[in-house]
Amino acid sequence: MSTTAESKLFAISLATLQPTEAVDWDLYILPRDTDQHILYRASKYPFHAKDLQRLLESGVTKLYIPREERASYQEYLRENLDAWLENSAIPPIERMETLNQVMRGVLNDSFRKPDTDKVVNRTIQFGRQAAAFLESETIRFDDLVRVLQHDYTTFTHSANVCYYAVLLAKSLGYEGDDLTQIATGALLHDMGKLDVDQHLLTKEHRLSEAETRQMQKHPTLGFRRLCRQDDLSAGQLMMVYQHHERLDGGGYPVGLPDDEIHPWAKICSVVDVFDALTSDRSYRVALDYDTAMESIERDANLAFDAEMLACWKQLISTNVGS
Amino acid sequence: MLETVDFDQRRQLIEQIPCRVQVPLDWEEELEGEGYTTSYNNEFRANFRYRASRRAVLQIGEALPAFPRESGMFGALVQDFSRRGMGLLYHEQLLPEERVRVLLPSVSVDATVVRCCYRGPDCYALGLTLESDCRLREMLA
Repeated sequence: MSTTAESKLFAISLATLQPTEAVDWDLYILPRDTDQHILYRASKYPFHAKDLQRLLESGVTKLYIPREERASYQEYLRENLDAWLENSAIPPIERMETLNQVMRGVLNDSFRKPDTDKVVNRTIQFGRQAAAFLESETIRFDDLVRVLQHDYTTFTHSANVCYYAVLLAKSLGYEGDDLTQIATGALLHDMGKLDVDQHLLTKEHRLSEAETRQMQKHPTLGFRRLCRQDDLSAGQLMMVYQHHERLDGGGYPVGLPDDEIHPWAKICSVVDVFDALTSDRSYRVALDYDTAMESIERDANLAFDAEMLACWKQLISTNVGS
Repeated sequence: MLETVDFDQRRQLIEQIPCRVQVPLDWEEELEGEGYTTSYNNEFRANFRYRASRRAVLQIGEALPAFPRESGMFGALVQDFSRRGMGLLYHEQLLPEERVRVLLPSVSVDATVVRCCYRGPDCYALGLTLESDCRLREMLA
């Protein structure tokens, strides 16, 4: 048995561990009523189903691994994600939590050193997984929101917009490949922010006119980064380019009227603003759903498609899924 | 790329190709007059712009993978230009990074779309970056 400083450890959900195999990292546990982590299983030792069962029965939901193993853990999750998402023995919300953990980890890494080809490949993979999962499972909206982060970093926001966009699109009648494409488009919708001065994204005070103009370039910057990718469709690219257009023509970058805005961009627009309002920002705390919806509904038929808004409002107040 | 071509032939071509741009009434003023325009501090322009309304012909170059384009020549209205840029009105939305060739009576210029703003039905204001410097004398000929 050994103890270690908490700052050197990284919490992982027990639901993400596959039994009957030896994991590559030392696993630590935090016993009840203590703040000292102890070594539970050294690396390369088998971790059987009965071990997992015993932990679950004693109420353990998290284990800890050394922080420097984070990349290896992310890789492990990525490799096993399909199996996890299809494992009906695990409650859907726990699988959702795992999906979100993996997606945020990968997006965080990818967005830090943006290699457009790699980001697109990964988002296509996650788009497929997120859409397939959310199309087939029933998850309460408030449960979903509980497992999501709300810190409005670009990668967190992109992941949230992806889930919300799939749910809204599904409620509007989209299915199959359309949902997969919408999920990927949503993951990429703010890609242009990677080319915007980062201090503008976290500025605590109102942006100046010049800074606002800089920020408003992000749909065009994102489109320029992605427009030569053979594996992205017109609809996905329009989610990137048009998600700040408004039905009344007052949006940017083009100022298009309602009938020229792609429907997928309209979906993205609704959930993008919803996540922005319900996330903590550098200049204000997150709004509750009712206040956020009231604010958005004031712009029904001006900025947002009223039918989509009504559908979103109904969705967030009821169960979602099949 | 600037080319030396038959001036009369090209002028004839430009006159023959219909221009489908519908200029909104409140934009007609924008096409009047000629001369250097005031540049505002917040525009961050590298070069002076010269305002000169001209008929032109636009050819779409290599299309973006997800946005196939009808090939051919289409009428456009040049609004202004600078050493490395051009503003023109076109009847449909073009997208950033799309490549076009603009034909004027005395020159043809290859350019890339950098911005597009909706002005009204069948009227989009395009901002182009030219692939080579253009000379005022040639553009105005």
